[in-house]
Amino acid sequence: MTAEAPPVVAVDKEEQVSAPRPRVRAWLSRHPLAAYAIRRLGLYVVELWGALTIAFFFFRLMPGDPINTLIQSLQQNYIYNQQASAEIIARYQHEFGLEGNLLSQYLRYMDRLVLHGDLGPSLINYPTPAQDVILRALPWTIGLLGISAVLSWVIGIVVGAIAGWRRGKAGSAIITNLSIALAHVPFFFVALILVYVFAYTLGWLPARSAYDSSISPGLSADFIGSVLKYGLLPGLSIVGIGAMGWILSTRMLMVPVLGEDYLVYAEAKGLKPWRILTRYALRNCYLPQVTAFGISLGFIFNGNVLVEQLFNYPGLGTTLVTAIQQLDFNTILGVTNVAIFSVLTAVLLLDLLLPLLDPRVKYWK
Amino acid sequence: MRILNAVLRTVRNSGRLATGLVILAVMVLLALLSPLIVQWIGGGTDPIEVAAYEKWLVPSGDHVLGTDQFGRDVLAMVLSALSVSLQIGAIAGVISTVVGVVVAFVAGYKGGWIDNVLSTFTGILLVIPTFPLLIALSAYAKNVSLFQVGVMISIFSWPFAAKTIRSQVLSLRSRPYVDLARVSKARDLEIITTELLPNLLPFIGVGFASSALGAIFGLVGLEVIGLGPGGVIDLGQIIFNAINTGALTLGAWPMFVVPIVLLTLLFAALNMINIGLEEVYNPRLRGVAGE
Amino acid sequence: MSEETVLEVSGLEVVYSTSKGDVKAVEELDLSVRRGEILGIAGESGSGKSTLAVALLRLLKPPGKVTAGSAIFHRKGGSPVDLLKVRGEELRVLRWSALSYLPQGSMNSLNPVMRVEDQFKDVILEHAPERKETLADLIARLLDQVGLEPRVARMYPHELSGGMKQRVLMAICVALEPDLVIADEPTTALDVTIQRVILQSLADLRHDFGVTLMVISHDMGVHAQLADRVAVMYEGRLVEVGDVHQIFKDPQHDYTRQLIDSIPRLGRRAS
Repeated sequence: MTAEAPPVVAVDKEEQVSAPRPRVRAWLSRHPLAAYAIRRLGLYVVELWGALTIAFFFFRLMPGDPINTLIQSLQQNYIYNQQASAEIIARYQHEFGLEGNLLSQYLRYMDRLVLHGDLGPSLINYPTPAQDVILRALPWTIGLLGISAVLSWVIGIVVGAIAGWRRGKAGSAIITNLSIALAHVPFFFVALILVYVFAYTLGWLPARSAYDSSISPGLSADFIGSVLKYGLLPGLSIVGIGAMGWILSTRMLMVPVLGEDYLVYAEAKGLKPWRILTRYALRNCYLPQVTAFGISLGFIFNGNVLVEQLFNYPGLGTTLVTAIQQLDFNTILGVTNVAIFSVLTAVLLLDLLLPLLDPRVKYWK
Repeated sequence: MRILNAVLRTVRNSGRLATGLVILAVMVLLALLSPLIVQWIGGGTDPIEVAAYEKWLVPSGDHVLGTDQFGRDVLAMVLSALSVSLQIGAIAGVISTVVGVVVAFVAGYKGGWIDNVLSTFTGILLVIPTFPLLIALSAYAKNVSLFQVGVMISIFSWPFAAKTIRSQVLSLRSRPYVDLARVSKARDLEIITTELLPNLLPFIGVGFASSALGAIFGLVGLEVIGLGPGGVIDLGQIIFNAINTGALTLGAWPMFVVPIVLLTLLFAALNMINIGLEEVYNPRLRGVAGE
Repeated sequence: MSEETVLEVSGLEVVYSTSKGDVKAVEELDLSVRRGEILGIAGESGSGKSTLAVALLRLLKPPGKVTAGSAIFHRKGGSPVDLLKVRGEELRVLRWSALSYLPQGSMNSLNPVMRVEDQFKDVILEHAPERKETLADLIARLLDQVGLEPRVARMYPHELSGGMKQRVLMAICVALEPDLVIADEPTTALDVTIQRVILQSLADLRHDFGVTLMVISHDMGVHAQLADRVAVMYEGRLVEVGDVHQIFKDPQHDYTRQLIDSIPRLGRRAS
């Protein structure tokens, strides 16, 4: 009897420990969408952490560490006043988070960034914190890039769907070949041509800045009109090329769907062609494009940097280029982080939206 | 000979692939011959030398595309720059493709946690905007050679190749003949080289074309904001000069229109090769992107 | 069964053009369908019976082409039209309200991202917008007719079994009480018990709605159970048409005999 007692206790303990897990499992299997959301959120956290970490070490391990370069140049400036220079350098090192070894720098950096949203001081506008510099630029980029990205997605899907629908017709072939030729051209090229034609040759539209500086910013009709007028050329160059890629991919998704039985059936039903196109063909091929939209944002951001720079648009892209010219490490890293955060968050939100849009996919698998 | 026949058959099957290859071939030929053409344009002197001619000459019989702010012949400059751009594309394309193939094979063939880690990493690099990282890298690496720039750009363009190839490895891995090979031959490397690689060649081509495209784009981007490698002139730098010297306002359109047209043609050719290869070798897509 | 004809096909010829010249899929075909009957079209695969259906439904896609013949269609309360000649809007209006289609259930004929009720709704509202008020009742009644519960209306196609999908398709095809339903292999790829249920439902539909059915099937068993008359096709030609009893008892053509012999029977060993 006594010999058998201990195992019983042990089994009891184990059951106590493992009891909540099956319960959680059971709950998750009853709520597959919640399970999907939790898993997706977990992946998001991992991706975000990974990307922020890659960015941090990328900058710290780069040949000729930018901050040390900066400090060296400061040291040279203060060469005549040894004592003052030592103090100032210590202060800089503290402010830029350069004390201690790489690991403790990393931990401190993540602590500041994640818990306080603090990116450290910027150099462009020292001692304004980098996050303030970025927040000032952010609305412009969100406005320009956000609207252009959505517009090119919508236009691309509509035109691509029609091009797929009317495959074999001359117009469709022209659009398809044009898209193949232009889909990978940098936005910036189009921007240059547009500026040359509409701003310099014809003089119809402004070539620089985001609004007329004689109008004071505010919610007035004048100001909004001016913002739209100044945003037209940069927006057009992003939409013009961006849409090409979507036209091509939508057409590629569309053509196999057109051969599906349910399209033949819809035709036999005698539905109006537009209805067949939208409710039957497009409804079955636009879902991959929702995910693709999120993934494309990073790419669009890349192209947007050059467009903003060309138009001197006061957004993140211009901030980034200015920061690089001044070796403003915190601002560069900050812009990168904001871009990473926005893109990953957009992808997450779209992925969480998908189950609501698509009745077929079993997301818990 | 067999390979040549296969290539010819492939090209004959896709007008789009053929067009892309012809455009690319013409550009490569132009680039290869560019030293000779440049010499011929100069007629004894170096037409790309600073102050070789008068500044800002408009296009004429002597200077088909005019001259720039330093009195250099724009046509000669564009041709040598084309050769530089193609070199960058080739260097970065090869490096990214090799890295991409290795990562794709390890991830796709081994599967399991290795695949998870590698795919997540590739996914992160694909989704996040990497251009700021590239800009930053080049800002602190000013005095580098063309080859080093190629390496730098490859850091960010290999995921494109890896993604394309991995999905193909995954689909090939489950084919019966690979299973058969796995039963009869034990070594992974042998299976990879004899069974998988030949079937993947077209997709490796796609990976190469897309990363070359990304690399040329990347370098143009760097040049346009004035952060390119020193000492060499590529097409992006000519565009950068055109913007910064006011060629737009002066009406010296050849300085930016010609490089843009050449690069657009190059991007178009690479994309046609991409889509052409996919059409021919991906039965699911056959005729999908068709005329 | 009246002697009134719904459809009169004469001299129909359909070709598929290939790189090696034209291939005739249907040749010199004459056939009439009487109002209220179930006409079976039998034949092996490749005999042209599906091409016939697709051509009559005007769903033939290139490289297929109708090269000769006419198909005069007599609608209730409408002038006769040649099915092979109507175009555009006239054809679209004719569809479903007069001529509907029952595809093979194993095919993806239901739109995967639309609820079943919406797939009823779009076709009914397209051709009979005046039924908007009574739509929900109508759908429930149609589903009940084929033995499905009303809650099926709220489901998506992927939530239905093969037999249920086939029954939904049957309910949709009679929704507007068409003059003629063309059913293409309605029981193929379903398991045997479901096949029986579907055949029974088809027979019930004829009984309740008085629809005229043209049933295409390679399975002589289906024709034996369901059809009033059977037309046998072989290599694109009609080799025999007749009353179902006559066809089975006294087949005139060798090929028909072979088809009948291919039905497995109890107590006979396969040779």
